[in-house]
Amino acid sequence: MKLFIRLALFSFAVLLSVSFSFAGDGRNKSVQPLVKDHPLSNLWSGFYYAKDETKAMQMDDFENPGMIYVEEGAEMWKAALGPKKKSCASCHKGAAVSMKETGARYPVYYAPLKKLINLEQRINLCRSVYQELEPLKYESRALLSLTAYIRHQSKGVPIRVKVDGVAKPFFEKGKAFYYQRRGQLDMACNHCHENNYGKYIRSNLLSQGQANGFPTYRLKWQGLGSLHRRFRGCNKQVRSTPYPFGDEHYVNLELYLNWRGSGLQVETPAVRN
Amino acid sequence: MFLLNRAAKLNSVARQMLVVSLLVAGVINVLDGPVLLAAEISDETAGNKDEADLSLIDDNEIVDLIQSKAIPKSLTDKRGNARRGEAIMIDRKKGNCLACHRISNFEDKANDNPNAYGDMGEVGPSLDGIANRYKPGQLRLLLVNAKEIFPDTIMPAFYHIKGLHRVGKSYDKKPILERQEIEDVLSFLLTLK
Repeated sequence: MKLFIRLALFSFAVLLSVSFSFAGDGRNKSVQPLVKDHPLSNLWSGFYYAKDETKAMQMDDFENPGMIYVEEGAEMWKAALGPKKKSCASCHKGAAVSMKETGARYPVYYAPLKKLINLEQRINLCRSVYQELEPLKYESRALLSLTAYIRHQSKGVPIRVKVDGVAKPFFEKGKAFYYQRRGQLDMACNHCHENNYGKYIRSNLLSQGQANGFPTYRLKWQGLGSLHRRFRGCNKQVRSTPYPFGDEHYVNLELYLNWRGSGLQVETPAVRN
Repeated sequence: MFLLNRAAKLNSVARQMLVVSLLVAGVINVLDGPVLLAAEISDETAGNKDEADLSLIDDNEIVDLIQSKAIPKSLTDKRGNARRGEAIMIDRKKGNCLACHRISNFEDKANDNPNAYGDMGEVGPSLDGIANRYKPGQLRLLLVNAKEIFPDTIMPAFYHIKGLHRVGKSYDKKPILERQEIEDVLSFLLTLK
């Protein structure tokens, strides 16, 4: 009986400390957008809308199931591959320093292709140009792991993407996509994530649809997934034909969404339901 | 008169300039000037194809007209069935109305059957007493295409497929509900008083 009481007290203390740590966690507070003319006055990470046990899972690196992928990505970073026996580290040295800001500023305009590229596409460009390797398949465990490892280096860094100059037309296309009604249900992103965040749609609490935690471990997926996988899921939910992984439409939207998250900290790998 | 007829055909700035110049020239006197102008303007409308009815509309009439956006006729020759309507409303693959709307009457049922009646959403207004707030024809239009009344609404049109963008293959050229299903849901909504 004594043991039982002790156990109960202990678990109560653990719960208490967990809830206190949420209160003190920057991810649980809103931030003001860093940019002008933003449609929202306060930005909330999806973290804020997650259940307490999901938040606890994300915050503890040993509990966070996305961290396994990050560790695999770390191994890939160091692995010397291809005819030239080159690794990512051969050029970029330690990711903690070289990739510190990277995850907070992608996608970026890439002049040789005259379009935007996201982190996944940057990785595959490096593979083909410098390592002389086959590109990794979008949504493969390897590409997710390396992407998660690189973006994890920016954890805590406020998102700030470049949307002017050469990036402007792509930003505008991403914005148009965001507000375009689509599918048999005829809904646009804004109907859920701008007009109704914080409300329940059936059993799901609608978030602002922020991109700062991707690649994200979704309990529903039982695995890590890319932002484009989430886009495809949203598109299918409104009964619309999704675009392929890595499609320009999605990369443009990725830029626009990251702009909408300007000031939110990168959380990769986030855990969500 | 000839001059003013000409003036009516000019744009308003030019017309004002002409009136001012006529006033200055003493062609029309200040007192009957505006009266003459008013006559010209109604002459102008009389010449239009859509003849405006100039009898005054009262406030109640305005409200009635706004609310007259409706489909008063049934979509089928069969009376709607409220029981079937309820089943369609709670079906997540059919109406899925509870994704966004609450119905207080369902709370007891939600305890027994949480999968069907539980987790009522809060995106749309409660449907309690909806039959008191709208006429049947208005409710029918709200089901067929709510955007006719609320252009920016998140609510899908359940029997209207025009202008949809990138509809998934298995849903293409199909409305969300069939005509009879609309009538069934309507019958159920009319019980919510």
